[in-house]
Amino acid sequence: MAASVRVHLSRDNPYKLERISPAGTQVVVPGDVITSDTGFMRGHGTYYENDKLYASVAGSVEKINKLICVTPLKTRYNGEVGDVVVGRITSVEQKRWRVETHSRLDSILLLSSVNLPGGELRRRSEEDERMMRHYLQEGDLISAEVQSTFSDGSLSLHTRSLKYGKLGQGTLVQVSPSLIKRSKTHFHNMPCGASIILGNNGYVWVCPSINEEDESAGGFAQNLEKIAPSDREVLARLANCVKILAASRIMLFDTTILVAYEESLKHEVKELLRPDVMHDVAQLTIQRMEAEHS
Amino acid sequence: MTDYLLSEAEKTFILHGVQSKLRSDGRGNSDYRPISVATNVIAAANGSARVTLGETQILVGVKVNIDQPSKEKPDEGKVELFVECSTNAMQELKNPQEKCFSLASALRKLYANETCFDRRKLCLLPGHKCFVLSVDVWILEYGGNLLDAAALAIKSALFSARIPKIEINQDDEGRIDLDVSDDPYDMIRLPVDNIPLYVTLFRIGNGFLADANQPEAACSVARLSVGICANSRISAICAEGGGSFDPETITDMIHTAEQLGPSLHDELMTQLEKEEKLLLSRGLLSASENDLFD
Repeated sequence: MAASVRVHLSRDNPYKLERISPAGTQVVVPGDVITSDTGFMRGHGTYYENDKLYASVAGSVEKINKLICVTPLKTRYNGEVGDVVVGRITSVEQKRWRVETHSRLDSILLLSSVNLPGGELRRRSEEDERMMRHYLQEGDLISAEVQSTFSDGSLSLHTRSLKYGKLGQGTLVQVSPSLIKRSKTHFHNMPCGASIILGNNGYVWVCPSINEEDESAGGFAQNLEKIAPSDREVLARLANCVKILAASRIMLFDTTILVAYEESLKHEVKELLRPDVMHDVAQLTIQRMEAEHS
Repeated sequence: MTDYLLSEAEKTFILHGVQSKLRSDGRGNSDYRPISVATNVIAAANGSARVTLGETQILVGVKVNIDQPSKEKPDEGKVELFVECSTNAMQELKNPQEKCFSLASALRKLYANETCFDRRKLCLLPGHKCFVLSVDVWILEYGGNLLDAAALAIKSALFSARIPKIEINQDDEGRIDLDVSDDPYDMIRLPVDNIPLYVTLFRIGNGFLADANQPEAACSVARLSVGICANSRISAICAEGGGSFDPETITDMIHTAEQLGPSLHDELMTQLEKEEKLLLSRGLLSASENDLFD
């Protein structure tokens, strides 16, 4: 296989994406005055000073009836109850695990919030505490749901369902949480032969197809077998498509990812890392999404 | 190398990827991520360059001063090289200070050979005056493979460096007069044809990769950096990491580096020359083209 090395100039970067923004989108930076009208309620990302409403984050203004809020372009993850997140275990503590979810504070996964092997429902004993590291270690990736938020804003997670649990082989792509569209389900089995988990916290997990009948993701046994090169290619292509969508700030949900995947098929997987190809795929995705909406 | 946590399954996935010669982003084992370069980014420096290699970003500034040559080498100029880490990158590296020191010493090794960079060309008046080249390397962002990116950035910065033409006059009483040319565009350039670049190969399992990103670098226990000139001659070799090498693997790695090195040089020089033409046409650069040795 011929090795490839490509150098390009940063000055040579006129890649601008043509897209139709919804009418009336106002983009603000911290310190911008949104309105001087005092009749509005202030939401997230705003603050009042001298009867004027200012933006405190950089993002787009959203007006919902009388509520004005600013959704930031790039932010740490602010958890809501019921969100699906993909997190990494950073430490094992007494009766709980500390999980990194790209939020302002570490999230917590309590021992009482996980399913015990064998599916038993019983009180956690001391032995369970000692066996914690056998189940989840530092570095492990998990998919979980936000059970509640503590008073300081940190999240309490749970994996009390068969679809959550330790993640096996695959690739993690980290994007901004503001790009993940909230939807009914965050677990998608893509028709191209891979599965994708869109964590609300911006962590996107691409893995080989999860067979519903075989073993549930909540199990302990991890499949460490070699994945076929054809499947690897699909995973790599999907991961690169997610990176392309994120770099062009296109919302991530199953439709956009699928469209980007289809548009990327005419390029080789490793070509999808090049800025001109990235721009091409992003532009085609935007065009198709706008065509389907109009 | 870093504190980057990975699960066992992710490490297995990467290891199998190396064996199948298909990485998680679709690259082969010897493919580099897209490299972007920009020179003359620091107006106050004699030469500067910023290189982006995947997520890694390095900024290099070259400044020239006049000093007395050292007593041991009175007919040679001096080159000082320092590496520093931005706060952003410091968070990603386990031991940033140590990392900077080891990077600096590896880079100094690269230019130690006089065929690569002849310090005698920097001498103005043997025993009295010489040029001192201060090369400052800034790690702006860490995304794996710092050494290769730093070497690319230094070569680009040296290519773009413009030193004012200085005339030395020594009168009968031994007083030295330094005359800087009145014409602000009367500059001399440094010879960069023989300046080597690093090709770092990361050993993972029984195979090896070129240009590892963060997760891949975290799986690698040992790496070999080969300093290669444009004509495939080796100027330096450094080994890092706690793991061991099989003698056959070392030979294979050097062989791969000998093939990748010239491609890196060619691509880089093509783009640098293209950028120079672009800057000249926009009037941002002076037109004089005197070489250091004439």
